[in-house]
Amino acid sequence: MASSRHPETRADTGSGSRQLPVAAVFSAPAALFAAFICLALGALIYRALTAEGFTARLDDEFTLDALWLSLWTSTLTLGIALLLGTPLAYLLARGSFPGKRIVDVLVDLPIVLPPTVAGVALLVAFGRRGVFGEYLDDAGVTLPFTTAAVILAQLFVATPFLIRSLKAGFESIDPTYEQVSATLGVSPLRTFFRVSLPLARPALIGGSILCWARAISELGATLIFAGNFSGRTQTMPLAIITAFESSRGLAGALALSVILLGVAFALLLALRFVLRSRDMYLA
Amino acid sequence: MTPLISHLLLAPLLCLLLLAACDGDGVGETDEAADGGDAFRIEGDLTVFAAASLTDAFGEMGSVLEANNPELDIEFNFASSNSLLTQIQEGAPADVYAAAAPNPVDTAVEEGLVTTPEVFALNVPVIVVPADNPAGIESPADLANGGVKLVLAAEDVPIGTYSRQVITNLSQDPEYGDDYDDAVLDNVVSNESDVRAVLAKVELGEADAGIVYISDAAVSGDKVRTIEFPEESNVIAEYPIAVVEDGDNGEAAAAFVEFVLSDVGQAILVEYGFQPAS
Repeated sequence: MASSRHPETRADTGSGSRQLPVAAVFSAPAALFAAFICLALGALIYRALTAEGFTARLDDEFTLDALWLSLWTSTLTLGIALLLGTPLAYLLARGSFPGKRIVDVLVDLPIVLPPTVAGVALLVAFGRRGVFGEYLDDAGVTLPFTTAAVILAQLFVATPFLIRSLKAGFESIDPTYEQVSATLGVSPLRTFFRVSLPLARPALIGGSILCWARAISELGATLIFAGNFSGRTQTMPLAIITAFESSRGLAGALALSVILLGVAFALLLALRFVLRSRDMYLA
Repeated sequence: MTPLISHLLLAPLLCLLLLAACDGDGVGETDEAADGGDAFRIEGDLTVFAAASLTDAFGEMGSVLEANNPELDIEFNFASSNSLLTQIQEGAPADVYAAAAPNPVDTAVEEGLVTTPEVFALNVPVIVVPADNPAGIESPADLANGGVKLVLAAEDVPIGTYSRQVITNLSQDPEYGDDYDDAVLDNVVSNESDVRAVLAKVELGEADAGIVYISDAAVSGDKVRTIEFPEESNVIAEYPIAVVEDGDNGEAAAAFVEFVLSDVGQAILVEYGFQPAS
């Protein structure tokens, strides 16, 4: 997030791309990829808006249930991820403990694993017949087919993105700041909240966006571990796949996709805006 | 593992069957086999889009055909019948379309995407429960018991439509009562994307019961127990197959359809729990 500020500042003071020597070489592949994304999303929007019954989908109960479920589960997931992921990221950046490298690799695993593998893993671990789920079931806690399972699936796949980003953020802080704070007699926890965390703010915000985005787009693990039931476990991606497989086919899927795209775009834009106005205030 | 073993056993068995079928004169068996194989002489790349419930039966047919036709390379795309239709509508490279319900194929015919379909198999919905039957389901009536975790296919997926039809039919039977359908549908915890996903949830014991085709229950072997619906209330699923108009390999597609409808093809379908079309 911090790095994105530099090109903007340069563009403001200079006279455009001519100042960047590699621009001539880089602009072709860069434009090609930007066009690739624009073409796909543009086609999606075009087909959705020209399809029949697009507006009817907007206030459809099935759509609103899925959208609401997606928004609140992904936000709760981000909250839990911050609560559990921040201490882990700090320990990985600053601490030293046995097995640190293994934990570091473990945290990366959900990023590289296909989400379906995550779903199967969660099912065999916490499903009713799962290795641990069996005991949970005896205690009266059944996770599959519940909203709790949706959140666990999102946590599993999305939290590593926050941890990755935060860990890099904490590592980039000059330790002197934290040491000075300690020598001034500030308690370690207070130092963390008053010095380390504010300095890692760009990483915190960037990681939060990634984590939230990954959570709201989660499909594979949720489908396998939580099932697909409107209002309970059917988030937007599941509603999209259900619409795609229904007799409404593409038309239904298109409308839902565009709604999710619009909401995600608006939220990302809002976050960027908040981030930038804070940066200007700090500067 | 049972399906794998039966695949291994069945493939050579069916080759023999093919041999026997063409052994009209009883001389020069090998030559005759080659002649008989001509009926299904298929070459090139063939892409078959088929309903998820056909995964094993068509997989088997694919191995038999490929074993007899070294020049043939069959690729299957198994998904719910509606997804397959959407993919074909969007120009996916299919040569053959086999669905678990007439509706999506009728749509494809209306849009000029496929040739006139033929029904090649019949199937019936059944209840499956995990082998240890945690919810103690012994009859269709037990699906309405409070707290049963029932998994169905989504409403628009053919087996999902059939499942709901049977439940509605049963609620008209005074033995089950008017509120049977509401009670059963209240127990639904998940609407899966295709029949195999329903089966998986039951096999894993996550669901107390599910409704799948009898052919899927057969594939599952002893991992699940099957409970049949009363015949008079049950629905019969018709499986149509058609050649895709824009396919790259129309000749091979026609030959594949012919093979599915042949005695050998029908025998494979029966082996996997389907009922023959005729």
